[in-house]
Amino acid sequence: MKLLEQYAESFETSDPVFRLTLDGGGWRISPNLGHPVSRYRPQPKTDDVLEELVCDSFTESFSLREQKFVIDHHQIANSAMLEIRRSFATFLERQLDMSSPRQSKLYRWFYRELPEGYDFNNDLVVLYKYLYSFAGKDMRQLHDKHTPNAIAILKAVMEKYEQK
Amino acid sequence: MGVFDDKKFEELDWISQATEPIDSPLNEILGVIPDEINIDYDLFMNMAGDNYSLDLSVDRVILYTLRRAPGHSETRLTWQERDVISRCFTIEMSEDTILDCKAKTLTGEIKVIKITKNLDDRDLEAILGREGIDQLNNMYIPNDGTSRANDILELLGGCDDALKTRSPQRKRSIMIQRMKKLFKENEWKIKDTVLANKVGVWIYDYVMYGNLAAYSNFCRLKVMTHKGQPIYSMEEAK
Repeated sequence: MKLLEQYAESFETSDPVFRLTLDGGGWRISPNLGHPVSRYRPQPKTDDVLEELVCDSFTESFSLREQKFVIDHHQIANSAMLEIRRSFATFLERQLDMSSPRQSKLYRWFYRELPEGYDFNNDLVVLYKYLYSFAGKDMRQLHDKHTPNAIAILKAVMEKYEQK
Repeated sequence: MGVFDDKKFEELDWISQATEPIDSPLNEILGVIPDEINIDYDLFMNMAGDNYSLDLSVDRVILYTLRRAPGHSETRLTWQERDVISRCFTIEMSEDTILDCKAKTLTGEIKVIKITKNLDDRDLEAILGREGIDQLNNMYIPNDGTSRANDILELLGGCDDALKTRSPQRKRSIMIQRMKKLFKENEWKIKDTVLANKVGVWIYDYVMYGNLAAYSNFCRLKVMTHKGQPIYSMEEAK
């Protein structure tokens, strides 16, 4: 989680420069705030999957008060974390050898009852990197050895936190 | 002066009495707004700055300019009136106009230009009585207001269905339809937008609260229509 925040901290923003367009038959001028002349898009500087994920979660908004684009680093990191938390249910849905994986207790726990918390999220980040290493970004690719291992780890996580 | 005299009509010159133009404060408001408004960066941000999208419409330019015009800081316009005034203007903008909020500059030229200097009767007829009708749309006839609503319906005429029904909603609906038709065809020949807007407000005040002054005004106006002359003003009971 800390790493996600560090990546988000390094982001810049687009310059608040807009090309005005005349809409509504000459009745309204629009600066198209969503499309500045030069749009900033963060690019990963390393091949770290987490950095790519944080870059994908980048959003900025134009502040009328400050007259510039602003970003919420914490929100970007949280958004990336949310993507990570979602990926476990996606992984199980695609990798569990069942006719309807969504009916399984394991899927439902990861989908609905995943605990919150800074430390727990840090554990999930590590686990996500492991899943990503063989299943890929879309969590689709099967691996003879790693897939059963990952499912076993996820079961262990569920059992550990269910007892709490 | 009699109760049913139209002071404003009598003060009109003979050409105006003959042509019967619709009188409206909108023409004065239109005159207050300059023929050409050049918009620079600061003006753009002041006009559009309280809008989350930073869009600048003709309507916003007009309201901004009007509020700053001497004697018009409190002038209130309805949506219909704003629409009528907006149609008198257009925006001209040079190609590739850039708004730079970092350097606080506007590259290019933006002008709001008045294309109509006087509102004609066709524009004003469309807004006759609209404000009052809008008020009737928000009217919920109370239990003790049914007979008062019937009083109004009888005076409006052409509302037989509304008089027969016991449903307050239906009475109101027919009343509004009748008012719309009355102003669309200007059956009562009301030639002043302010006076026309008051009709719906009087009906509202009488039906909702039993305001007898409002009913008296409505009745006076109805009597004045029997002359078949254009109506510009009337002596109102307060």
